[in-house]
Amino acid sequence: MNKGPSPHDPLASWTDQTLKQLPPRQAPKTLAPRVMAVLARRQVLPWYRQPWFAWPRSYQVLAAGLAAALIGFGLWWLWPHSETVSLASAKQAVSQLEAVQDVSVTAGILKSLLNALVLVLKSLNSWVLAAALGVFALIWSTTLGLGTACWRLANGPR
Amino acid sequence: MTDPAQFETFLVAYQDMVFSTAVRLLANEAEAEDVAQEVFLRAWNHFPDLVGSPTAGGWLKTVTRNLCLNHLQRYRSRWKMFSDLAGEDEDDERPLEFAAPDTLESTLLTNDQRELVEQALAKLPADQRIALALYHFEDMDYAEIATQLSVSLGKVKTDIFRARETLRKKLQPARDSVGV
Repeated sequence: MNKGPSPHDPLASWTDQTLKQLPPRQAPKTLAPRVMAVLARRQVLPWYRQPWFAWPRSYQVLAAGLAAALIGFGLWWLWPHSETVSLASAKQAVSQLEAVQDVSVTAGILKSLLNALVLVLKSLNSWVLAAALGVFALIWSTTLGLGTACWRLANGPR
Repeated sequence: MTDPAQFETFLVAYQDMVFSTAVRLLANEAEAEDVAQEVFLRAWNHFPDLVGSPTAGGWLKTVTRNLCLNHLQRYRSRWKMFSDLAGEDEDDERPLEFAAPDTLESTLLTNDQRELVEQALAKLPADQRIALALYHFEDMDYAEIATQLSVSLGKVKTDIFRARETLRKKLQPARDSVGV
C-alpha cells in the first residue's frame, strides 16, 4: 500500500490527481449475460462434470482422500516391491503367452522381448529402477508441459 | 445453494470495477472481459462468503489483479516483444489534443478529457502502463510492484517515471495549466 505521491514531486502528484479522477470504465453489456450463461450451463451438468470447486464439500473431501490414498498406494506398490512385482508380472505374462501361442511368429517375438525384459530387470538393482522411474517421470512431465505450452500458444488469447 | 438472481445483482454491482481494473492493466477490452468473466465465475464458487461481506470489493479487486498479472506473465514474451516494437515509434506520435482548462479549478477533467487520458494510458508501453496502474489505481508501493512483476525496484521506478513523463508530454497543455 503506497502513501500516495510525494507533494514535492509535482509530476507524480499531477499524474495521481489526473488518474484518480477517472471514473470506472463501463463493463460491456455482454459481460453479465456471458457469466450467467456459463453458470446456467454448469448448473445443468451433473456434479462430476462440474469443476472440482463446484462439487459438494463432502465429495471434495472424499475425492481428495481417494486421490491421496491412490497416490500413497501407488508409491508403496512401486517403491519397495518394484522388482518383485515387475518380475512376477513379466513371468506371468510369459507363461500366459506360452499357453495361448500357436507357434506364431508374433508371439515368439513378444516372448523373446519379455524374456529380455526379465533378464534386464533381474540384472538391475532397485536404485537403478528408481532412477529409471525418475527419468521416465521427468520425460513424461516434460512432454506434458511442452504439450500444454504448445496448446496455450495455439489457443491462447491473441 | 447460491441464488442466481442474487448473484446477478452482485455481478451488476461490481462489474464496472472489475472490468476497469482489468482493462487498465491489460489495455485490451476483449481480454479484460475474459478476465472479468473468470473473476465472477470464481466469485460464484465463494459467493456464500462474499455476499454481504464488506471485503467483497477488495476480494474481487485482488483476484482481478492477480488474474491479469498471471495472464500478462503467461504471455509476457509476446506482449513484451510487441510493446517494444510499438515503443520504437512512440516518440513520433503527436500529442493528443487536450485543451487547456481556463482556470485552475477546471483541472477537474471533462468527459472528453477523461477519454483522452484513458487513450493515452492504453497507448503506454506495457511495462510502463502496468507499473503505473498498479501504483496509482491499485495503490501498491514500488517494492510490492517489483515483487509482483518479478523485476527490480529500479526498473519499477524507471517505468513509472517514464510513464508519467509520457503522459505529461501527451497531455501537455493541461499540465502547463496546473504548473507542473
